[in-house]
Amino acid sequence: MNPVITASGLTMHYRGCQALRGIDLQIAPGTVFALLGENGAGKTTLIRILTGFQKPTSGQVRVCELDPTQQPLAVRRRIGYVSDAPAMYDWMTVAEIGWFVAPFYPAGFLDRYRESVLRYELADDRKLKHLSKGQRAKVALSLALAHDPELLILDEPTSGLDPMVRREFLESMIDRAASGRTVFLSSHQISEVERVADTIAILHHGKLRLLAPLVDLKDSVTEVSVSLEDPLVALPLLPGSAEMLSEQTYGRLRRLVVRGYDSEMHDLLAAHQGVTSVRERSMSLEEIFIVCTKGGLTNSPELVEAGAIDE
Amino acid sequence: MNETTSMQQALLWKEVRQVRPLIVLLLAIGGLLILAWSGFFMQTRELASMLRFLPLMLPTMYAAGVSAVLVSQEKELRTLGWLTAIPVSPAQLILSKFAVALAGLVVMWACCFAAIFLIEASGLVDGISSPAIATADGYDAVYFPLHSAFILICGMLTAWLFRNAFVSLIAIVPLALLPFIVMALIRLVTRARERYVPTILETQITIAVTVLATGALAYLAYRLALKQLAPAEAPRVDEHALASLDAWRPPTPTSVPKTPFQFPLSSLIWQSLHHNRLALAGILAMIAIGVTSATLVPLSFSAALLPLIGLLGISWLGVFVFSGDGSQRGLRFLADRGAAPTILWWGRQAIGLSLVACGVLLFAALSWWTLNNRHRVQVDTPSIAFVGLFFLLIYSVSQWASQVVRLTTAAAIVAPLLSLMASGWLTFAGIELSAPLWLLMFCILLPLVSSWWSMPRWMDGDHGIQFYLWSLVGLVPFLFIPFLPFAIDVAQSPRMSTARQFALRAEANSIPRTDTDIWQLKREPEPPLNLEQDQELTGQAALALYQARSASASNAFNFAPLRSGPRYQVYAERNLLDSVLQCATYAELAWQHSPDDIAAKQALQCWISDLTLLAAGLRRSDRWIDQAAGDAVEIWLTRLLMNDSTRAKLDAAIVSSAVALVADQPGRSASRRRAVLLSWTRAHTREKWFHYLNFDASGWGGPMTGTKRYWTQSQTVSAVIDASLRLVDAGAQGQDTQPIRRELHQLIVGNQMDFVDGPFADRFRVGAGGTWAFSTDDLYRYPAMQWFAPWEIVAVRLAVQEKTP
Repeated sequence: MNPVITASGLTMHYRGCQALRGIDLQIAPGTVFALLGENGAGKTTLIRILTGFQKPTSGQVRVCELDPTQQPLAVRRRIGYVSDAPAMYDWMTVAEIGWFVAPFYPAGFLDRYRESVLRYELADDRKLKHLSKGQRAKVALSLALAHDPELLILDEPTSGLDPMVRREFLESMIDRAASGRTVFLSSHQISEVERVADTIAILHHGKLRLLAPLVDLKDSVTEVSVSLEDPLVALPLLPGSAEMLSEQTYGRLRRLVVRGYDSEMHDLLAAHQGVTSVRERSMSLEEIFIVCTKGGLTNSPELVEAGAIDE
Repeated sequence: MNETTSMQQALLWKEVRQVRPLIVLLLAIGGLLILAWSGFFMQTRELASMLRFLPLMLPTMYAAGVSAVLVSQEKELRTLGWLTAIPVSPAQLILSKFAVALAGLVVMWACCFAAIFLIEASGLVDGISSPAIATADGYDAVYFPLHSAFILICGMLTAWLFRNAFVSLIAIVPLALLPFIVMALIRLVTRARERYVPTILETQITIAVTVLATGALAYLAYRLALKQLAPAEAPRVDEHALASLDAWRPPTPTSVPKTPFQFPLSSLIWQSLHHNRLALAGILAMIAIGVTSATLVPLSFSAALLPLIGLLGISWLGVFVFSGDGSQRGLRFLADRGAAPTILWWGRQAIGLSLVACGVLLFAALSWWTLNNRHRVQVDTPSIAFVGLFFLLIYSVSQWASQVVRLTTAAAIVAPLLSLMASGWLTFAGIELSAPLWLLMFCILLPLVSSWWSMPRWMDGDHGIQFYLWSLVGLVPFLFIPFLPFAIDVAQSPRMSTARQFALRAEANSIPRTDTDIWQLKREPEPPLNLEQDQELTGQAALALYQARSASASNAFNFAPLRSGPRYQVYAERNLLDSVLQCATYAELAWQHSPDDIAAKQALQCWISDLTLLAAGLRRSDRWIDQAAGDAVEIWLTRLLMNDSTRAKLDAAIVSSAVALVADQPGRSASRRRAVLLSWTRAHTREKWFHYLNFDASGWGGPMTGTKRYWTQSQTVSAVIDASLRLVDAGAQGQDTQPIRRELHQLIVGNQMDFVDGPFADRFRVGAGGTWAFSTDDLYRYPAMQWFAPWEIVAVRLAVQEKTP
């Protein structure tokens, strides 16, 4: 099955800023793809390129087998997109905005929109300017979902939603993926992402630091705490199958975050001269995110235990 | 096909909904402006002719503002971004916006022409020629719609070009002038070559330039819009080139000082200055162009546009105060940080007020230069104080409007119109209501006070009805305070008391209705002239013919019915009465010239007899004005018959009946009182006023504004009625009438001359000091002028002499 989104060597340069630096990614249909990254990492730039609002400086991108830089209209017909703060016409009523948007999509849009609005318990005759932030988000979601798009791109989708609706919405995303549709969401809510996402990508300073299925990611990233006799002891190089995500020294304790760590590596480290002990710990997604974006964990339980930092 | 139609319908529906408030707002303000103008500014022909221009302003304002509403506003509110996220074809979107904007322009022109038609049909500008529709300095009527379409295209271009609505509106101004600039350049070139371009050719060139520019700018606007709606191109960044340049470039100095401002106000002024520098620069340029042209360029239709641009700049400077940064978010940021509303208000106003002051200073400097170079520049400039107050008023009203109308685009369109209305109102108050200058200055400051008063609510983003009520706190005094001195003045103007009115109306109602017929004094049709026959007549024959034609009582006027008995009340118009008295005087002179001429004597006697009947008929009239005519006839008879020898030579019966008439003082007083009362109670309408009273009351009370006269005239008339009736009563009882005549002098003549020089003075009383000259014109102008004058005493004495053997 062809990927829904394909990007290769995607770069985006602004004056004095490199927003994207060689993004390569493929998103398979029927997945919930979560893009994580701190503010300014390049998430919105990537979404703008995917939705055909922005041409990249270099690289290729295809969405639903279409080039969004050449066929933005065709792409927008096949996707649903909700920005973090959708600026809809606030003089329209809930019913009017659905009626207004319906002609731009295939038949059945309006009925599905009305069903969705009914499910969210929104009054048809309320003007958008009189709705709360959460209610507006519901209208925006209803509009984005009403044509049952192949790909749904969401920027901070649950911002403003109450906990009940948030849970319901996230579950609906899993259902969509199960029905073969693809969801691309950008979020700061790591705990929510952890609950629904199949694939995780962490974007940092315009580069994809990690891209892997969530299950693999959790199992493959390990925090290794190495106690040393002397802080100046040099550790042996790990085999090529391992990727060192972070290395930090706190006195005689050295902390490594390694992807693809195995028991042979443990033995290699433990046998090295000057190493007194080696301990491993699997990491949560949030910890992985912090390591990828900040370069290390400052409040790791191992460090606290070793007295290297204050709790 | 159906899908495309549905999409177009949806887009058109949205655009129409967006543009509808602008059309409604402009029509409402335009309607108010026209109503206010037709009510307040019709005193002079120049002002009245401007009424035709006002509707023409509306399509132009619409053309300038519609793109800001359809494009800039969507950019500012980010709805355009949301709209393009759904699969809308850019071409379809652009064309739907253009189609709706153009349709709106057609609607505005239809309304404009309807308004002009209504103005013409209402008769408000009857007989007032105006170049507005037919031709305007050579520009045909077709040019106004064409230029408004051009402005619309300019607006489309600038709205797609600039992100900020304010900047896009300002950028329209130089583009809109493009055809005139091209024409001016052509004129300069041709004049430099000493060649003359006919006006009609200039018109054709201007129209051609406008059409070409419209097409070119429309294409540019379309391409620009397409580019804006297409995926944005990545910026071209050549890192190596940049690096090379950077090596030679000095380090960029930081624009942020290391230490903060000492006072919050300084910080706020800095913010006001920097939040939209491009718009501020544009506004400054507009003001500079306006002021410079007003002082250096002689006024003409084309050149008049430039000062208007300056005034528009002042108005937009006011709008800039609260809407310069395009939204209220900036102020919310400050409000959330506890900035004091008053300091914030000053921070916003400091830049605007300073620039207004700069504009006035520039005007002062250029006016000084102009006045010292009259041989080079001949431009009449208004006073600096007037310009300063005018600028401040426009600024003050516009900043108030920008606080009340939150959307920048709407504020920028509404503020100039409201400023125009406010200027009109205060001008009217100053000229017509005689409002003092200090009060007008107070009113100019009121919108500023109002915006300061509403500042806390505005900062908090209060959109509720209470905010608008607070804002109206300034508007209500602005409308009513200039009216107060006038209202007090009108309330204090002399009038008849209500109790007296009731009493007099009751008396008038008790007067029995007479069954007498009305007889209108008329000149008999003269025998037609036969030039061939008349030329053959000579000497006495010719004289006899002309006398018969014009001077004979029996031939010239239709007195015959009066001779049949006292059954007519006579109505006499002034010019006919003059003719009657002139003919009678001619007969008198003819008899004095030939005392032995029997025919002359008979002619005079015939006149005396007819005038006696005429005077009696006039006294029976229920019109006050005929009492003045009766006075004139009786004065003439009294003057003639007071001479003993004259009486002795004339027929005794004729003399006796004439003397009996003029000596009937009680009858005369009763007639006067009756006529005054009946005329007053019957003269409710303007037509009846002319019928019953017919005195020229337009100058009563002395010089005053038309508005004051309108509001006080009926009161003055009632006071004159009251005084006249009291004069009748006082005279009948033999009391001194001078105090009441002084009162009449004050009511009718006012302060423009002293009593001793006025028509009611003792020295102008007929019969006083042997003076018998009088003017029927004065009698018809000043009511009761000769009542109880010495001639009436002479008349009464005549009766005594008649009875004395």
